[in-house]
Amino acid sequence: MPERPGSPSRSSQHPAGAAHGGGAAASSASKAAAADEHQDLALVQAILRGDQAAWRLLLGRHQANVYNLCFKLVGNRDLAEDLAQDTLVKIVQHVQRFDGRAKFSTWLYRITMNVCLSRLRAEKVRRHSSLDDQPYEGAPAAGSGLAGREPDAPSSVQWTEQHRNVLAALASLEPEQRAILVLRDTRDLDYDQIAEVLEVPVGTVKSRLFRARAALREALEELEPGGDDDGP
Amino acid sequence: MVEGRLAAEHERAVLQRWKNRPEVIAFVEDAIQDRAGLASLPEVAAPVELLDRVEAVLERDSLLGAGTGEQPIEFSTGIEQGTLVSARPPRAPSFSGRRRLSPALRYAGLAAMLVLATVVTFQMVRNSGPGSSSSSIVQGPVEAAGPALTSSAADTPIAMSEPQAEAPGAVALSKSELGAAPDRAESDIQESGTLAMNELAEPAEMTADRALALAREGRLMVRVVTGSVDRAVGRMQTGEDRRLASVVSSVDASPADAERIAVAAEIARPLEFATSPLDGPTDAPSTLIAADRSHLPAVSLRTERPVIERRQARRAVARVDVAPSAEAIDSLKDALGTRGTFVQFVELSDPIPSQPAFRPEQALWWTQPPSTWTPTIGIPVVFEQP
Repeated sequence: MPERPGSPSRSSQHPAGAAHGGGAAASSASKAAAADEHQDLALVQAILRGDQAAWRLLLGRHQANVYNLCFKLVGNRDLAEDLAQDTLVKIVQHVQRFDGRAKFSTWLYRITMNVCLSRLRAEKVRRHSSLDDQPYEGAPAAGSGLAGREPDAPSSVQWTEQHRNVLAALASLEPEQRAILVLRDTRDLDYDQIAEVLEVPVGTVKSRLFRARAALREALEELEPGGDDDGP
Repeated sequence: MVEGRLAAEHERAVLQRWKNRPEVIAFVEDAIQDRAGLASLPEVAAPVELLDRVEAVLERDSLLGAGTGEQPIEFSTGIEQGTLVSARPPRAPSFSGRRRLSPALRYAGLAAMLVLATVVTFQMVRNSGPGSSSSSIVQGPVEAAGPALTSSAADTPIAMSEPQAEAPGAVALSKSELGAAPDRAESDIQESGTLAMNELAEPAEMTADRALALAREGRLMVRVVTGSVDRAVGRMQTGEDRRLASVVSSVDASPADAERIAVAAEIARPLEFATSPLDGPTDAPSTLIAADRSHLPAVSLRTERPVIERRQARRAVARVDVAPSAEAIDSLKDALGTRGTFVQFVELSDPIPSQPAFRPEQALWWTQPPSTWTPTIGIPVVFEQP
């Protein structure tokens, strides 16, 4: 299929590009992931044995991942920090429940999603009850003309207009749709992993993913009234 | 095509089918583009203080007993050993770092105290009997002492079995306030063998180092004998005394804590107070304070009004937080020792269990990272007006 003008190449922009590139790169990434998982398990076992130093190591390894996941789900730096904090606290408080059947990263994603989705659902109910149709507080508003406005993200990161629009469009979706898109496209989880994280059947993942993509496209088109022929 | 890659042959077949479906092709192309857009979102750095905040929350939850209720895994930040205690949050039992004596040792100590008290009492009764030539220091200002012990003991949680006739026993107060009397008093004490209980524990003036060691064990009490408890308490409460304010970081005593301090003070009380004419009737008003010092700099966030209870006459208690150093404890003693006031370190045989009331708002300070905390040590202070 021919790529549209301006469309980013998957192999260069998608994090899965390397993993899906096949050959040595995929094998290397797979080995690295396996090594990471092994280290996580070792740290969890150390914690369960009472090794206090292991706490910081384990949380330090995942804090950026958790924070980024939260940030992309809520689009607000302060709120993401709160949610990441809640997530890490829950990891500490529930680590004895981790039985090793799933990957530690999957377990961590599940907790993160539960924390974030709970907050987003509660906020949605609050907005409904207050008849306030404003988007989630602090998130970039879809169609709010984010051009010329700094995104709510650390200034050290280079945010393009495309990034702002994607984040704004994402923030306009239903929480479940955001979650599935973020897990799939920013964390490159496969359907089985997403099903495990969200605790839904794989078929639900596929159908939900399709609807989420359609909703995202619609939201982006609203943000780009002139169409997207110009590319990002 | 969007979610993965088809085999080349399969892909060609699909594209052939879509040849006349431009809307499908457009959707797929958009989806691929959107997916790339999502994947290209920059990764942002986690806040540097995130882990510190997590630690603070866990500490707070563990103190409040909050969280999941299932915390078999201990989350240690290195302050459980009692070496570091926040200057702002209140003390909690698990952070007190106090050495606890075994029940057997405590009972043995109590039994020893009772035996000593009995001996002392017997000696006093003998010396104060008719025709006794005992020249007790009570011939000073407190000579008119009435035997108020029996009635006061009745409403004291731990009442010592001191007989009414023990009136002339006096040590600490007279040393400082009777002018020429102290020398005489000391000789009288030595001659008659009449010693207050706390004098048995502390025969000489306690050094600051010794006081610090006892404070770490929870066995130090500062006893302030003053002409006006109200005035002394006022100085503590208002923080107007800059010297005192510079030493004390917080003042507090929950009702339960105050009760324990009062009991300990009663046990360690010199005998002359049992017969002091100023002890007055047992229902005389007095205070147990839990002072609000929130207006002071670097003072714990406590907003409640002082707790006032009717307790034993002419006595007020508080627990103050000071830096765990001999210098700070010495400074506390100096700061408390205004004119006409006698300040004394008292060694307690048993540590005073410290379990102050814990209020959620106090936990606000635990959001500060541990690196900002400074160690303090809690010392009970008893104000007495003879």
